Parts: sequence; structure tokens; C-alpha cells
Amino acid sequence: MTRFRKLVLLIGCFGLLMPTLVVSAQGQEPSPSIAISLEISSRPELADVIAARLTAPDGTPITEARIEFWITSNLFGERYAFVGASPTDSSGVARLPFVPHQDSYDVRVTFDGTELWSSAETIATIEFPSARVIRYQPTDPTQLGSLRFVMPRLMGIVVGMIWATLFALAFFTLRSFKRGGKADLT
Amino acid sequence: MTAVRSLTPGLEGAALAPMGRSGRGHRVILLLLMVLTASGIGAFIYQFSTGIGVTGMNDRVFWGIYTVDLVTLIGFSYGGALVSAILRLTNASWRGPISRLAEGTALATLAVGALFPLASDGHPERVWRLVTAMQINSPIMWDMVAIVTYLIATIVLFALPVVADLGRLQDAPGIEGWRRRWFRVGAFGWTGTADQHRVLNRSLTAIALLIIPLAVMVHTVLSYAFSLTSRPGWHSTIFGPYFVIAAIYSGVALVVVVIVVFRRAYHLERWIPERAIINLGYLMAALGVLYGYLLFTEVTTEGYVGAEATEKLLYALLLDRWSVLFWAFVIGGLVAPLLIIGFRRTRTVVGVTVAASLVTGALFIKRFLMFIPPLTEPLIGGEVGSYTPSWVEIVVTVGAVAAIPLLLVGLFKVVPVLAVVEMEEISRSRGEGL
Repeated sequence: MTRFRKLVLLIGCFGLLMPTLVVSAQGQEPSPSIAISLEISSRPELADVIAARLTAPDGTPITEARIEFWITSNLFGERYAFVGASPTDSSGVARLPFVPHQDSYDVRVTFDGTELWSSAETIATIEFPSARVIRYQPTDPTQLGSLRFVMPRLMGIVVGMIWATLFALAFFTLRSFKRGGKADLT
Repeated sequence: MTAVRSLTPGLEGAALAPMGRSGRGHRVILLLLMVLTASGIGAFIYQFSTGIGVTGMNDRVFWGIYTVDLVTLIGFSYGGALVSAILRLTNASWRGPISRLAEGTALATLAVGALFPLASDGHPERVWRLVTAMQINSPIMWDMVAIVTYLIATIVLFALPVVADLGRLQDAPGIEGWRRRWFRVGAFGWTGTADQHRVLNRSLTAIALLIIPLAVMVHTVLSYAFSLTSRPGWHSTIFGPYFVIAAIYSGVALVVVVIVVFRRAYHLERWIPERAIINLGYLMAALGVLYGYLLFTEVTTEGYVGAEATEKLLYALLLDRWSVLFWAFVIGGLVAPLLIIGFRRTRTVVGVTVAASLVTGALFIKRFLMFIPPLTEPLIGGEVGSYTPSWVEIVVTVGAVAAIPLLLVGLFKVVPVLAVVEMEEISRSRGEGL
């Protein structure tokens, strides 16, 4: 191999490696970590708070970083639903007042990253004390609540019957035309 | 058949008039309508690709002019179908020449109006999830079911007499080429026998009986999307009948406008008598009085009780931010049409058309006032919200409005504009020639 070819090969290899080196260099911002905790309010009329503490690898708090809070939801399929965002304070803690309607939630907390810090997220199951949970009061099933179950289904049957009547009318009328009007509906 | 034809010289030609070559004026108007419709479609594609943020809707006012369009257009369709159904059931002899145009108007406005829930959605491509992730207790889901049911009923009400007319006119002069093949296939073997007439009449009576409660149901369910919330201005027991009467009122008005335009454009004056239009004017006036009564009842009962939030809203509506639009509606949609139809001197085709045009525009304003001002009022404190339709919403709305006459013109290029079989039958039953 000539010296020229060696040089071309070397430049080619370097060219191929460059993007990888650039990407890996960019990804070298330090990765912070997030810890989720629950702060129970001492006053019953105030909501409890989901707290997320964002810290650098050495444990120092990261301040004024936007933290997003998500909980699992089953609306239009199971997914994480955004419930709020909050900036971290001087001790690296972002807080979200939260009124629980069930005993526990899978909470996902995300930090999108900045020029100094790479992104981070964590998921944890938060258990709420039973006394703090505000439960939906089911309607008394012997009264209007039972209608809530029956009425839509009844309406479904009525609509189905209307559709069937319309299609049957159209079908039998047209078939009757074909037969000179001497069948079915006469 | 021969005897019938001799009674109706010129009727065949009149019924097929829109299928002939259009004049230059017609072509220019059609081109304009096409451009407007295409612009509307383009604006919707832009909204779909960019996101719903290009509309004027915001966190506070989450339903805008698209919802107004939806309710207005479905209301229009309601009038067309009901005019046809009620006049059939009451055996009104003047229904013959207007029933096809009324049903066609119902179909065109419903087809366009039913698209507006898609325009209101941030992700219209997910509309199929209404079925796969159905929330059976949601009024929105039942809105869609009601609209689809009503659409099917309107198609059947429109299509069955058309089948008879295609059979009746398949050998008419001027029906050639693809149109003749279409008339033959679409006729489903209709030859005009007495048995076929009997079957057709029974089926149409059954559908007419069915479509009246269906239309009431559709608009009542549509009103539930608003009245089943605790928002002041929406949460009202009167909303169901309020929606229904508004729908028939505006629907009859649009039918008048469409009939007059087609009558003039295709020279149908001999077949659509002035009496039919004046009678529709009377019907519209009666509905106007009824609607005015409902409006009076709503404002006085809510204003007299004076709940804080409702009182603020009524003040904004009657005397403050929205008062110009509100009084424009009252004068243009209630007072002026009633005066025009009330005086013998102005009770002419032109007068009724002016009144109907005023009602059509005023009822659009009324729907805007029903939905937008209540949304701007804060429910749990904070600033009063605001809403101004963006250019995208305006272009989509104008495109949709332009699509309705375009659809009607297209429709009557393939089906007769007059219900020939029905007109001949009425004529026979009254023992007179047309």
C-alpha cells in the first residue's frame, strides 16, 4: 500500500469515527438523579405534595430545573398522563400538590435536561395513607346510579332497532320494486 | 303511464333542467364555490398538519366556531327533513314541488355538518377510538351515534322517491349515455305500477314517522353536550326544546333560500308556485314566534333568580360585551322576519326570501352567542376569557358553507330536482292536471 492510500484510509477511518466521537462527547453531560417522595400535609384541608428531588452525581441539589409529573391513566388506553410541572427550589426539590382518589399511583417524574445536565427520569409507586384518599362516592345503585348503567344500554338497543328498521325498509322496498311491487310490503 | 305524461307537459324537462349545460353565469358561480371549498379543505389540511393551535381556541374557550358550524348545519338539515316529513304526513298538497329540494338540503347540510367534530379535534386521525375506546356514558359518543342514525334516515327518505323518479324518467328526452345507464340501474325495476306506488307510499310514510322523533332526538342529544355540564348559560332544562325549535326554524329558512335560488336559476317558477314559498314563510313565522317565546322564557327565568355567574353572563349578553351581536340576532332573526311576513305588502317571494336569509344568518349568530360567551366566563375565578376565530377557522367555515350549494348542484346533476312521481300522484289525487 502506497503512502497516499494509507493517508486516504486514515482520513476515511477518522471521518467515519468523527460523528461517533462528537455524539459521545455531547452525551457526556453529567447525569443527575431524581428521587420521589410524598410529603403529607399536617393540615387536613390542604392537599398532600408529591416531591421530586433532583441532584447531581455528587449529591448537590440542582436548582431552577423544570420537573414534570405524570401518573398512569387509563383514558383512551393505558398511558402516562401529564398532571403538572414545577421548578426545583434551592434544595433541588420540585413540589406538586396532589389530591389522591385511590390508594396508590405509579408516578413518573421527568427532567428534560439542560446544556449542563443530561435528562433524567424515574418511576415510583406512591402509597397514600387511606385517610388522605378522597374517594369518588358511587351513586346509590338502588337509585339513579342504576339508571346510569341501564340507560345507555337501553339506548343502544333502541338505536340498533332504528338502524335495523331503516335498513329493512330500504331493502324490502327496493326488492319490492324489482318484483313489480307485488311482494313483502304490499 | 301515458295518461300521466299527458297531464304533465314540461314537467320532465323541468325536473331534469339542472342536468343540462350550465350557462356562463352558472359556471362562474360554480367555479367560485369550488375555489372556496378547495380553500376550506386546504385550510383544514394545514390545521391538521400544524396542530389545532392555529385556531383561536384556547384553554378557556375550548369550543369555537367549528362547534357553532356543527350545530348550525345539523340544524339546517333538520328543517329540510322535517318539512318533507311533516308535509307528507299532513298530506299537504303543496309539498310536491319542494320536497326533493328540502330533502336534498337536509342531506347536503348534514353531510358537511357531520364533518365538523373532526375539525374540532386536535387529533382527527384518532376518531376511530370513539368506537374502540367507547365511553358509553358520554354525550359526545351519543352525539355521533345520533348524527349517523339521522344521516341514514335522511338518505333513505331522500333515496326512495328518487328511485321512483329515475324509473319514471329513464326514457325522458335528454337522458342519454351514462345518465341513461344510471337511471336504468337506479330505478330498481320501477315501472310505475299501482303496487309499486302503494309500496313506496307506505315506506315513505313509515320513514316520515320515524324521522320526526329521530330529528328531535338528534338535536336534543346535541344539546346535552352543553346542558349536561354545570356551566352557567349551558346548564338549562330548556336547552333540548330550544335546540330543536332553533333547528327547525333555521332549517325551514334555509329550505326557502335554496328553493328560491333553484327556482330562479332553473326557471322552475311554473312548477314551484309562489303559494308554496309563502306557506313556508308562514311556517317560518310560527316557528319564529315559538323561538322568541323560548328565548324570553330563558332570559327572564334565569335573570329573575339572578345567580351570580348567570347574572354576569346575561349582563354581558344583553348590555355589555356581546350586546351588539345579541340585539342584531333579536332584530334580524326575530323581529324583522316576523314583520316582513306579517304585512301583506311584503309577504311576497322576495320578502319571504329576505326574511329567510335574515333568519339563516341570525341563527348562526345565536349559536355563537349560545356557546362562546358562557365559555369565556371563568368558572373558578381568574380573568374573563376571549375568543376570536383565526383565519384558518374562517376559511374552513366559508369552505363548508360553499360546499353545500356545490353538493346540491352536483346532486341534481344526477337526480331530478323535482319529485315527479309525487307531484303526479298529488295531481291525480286532486283530479287536476299540473
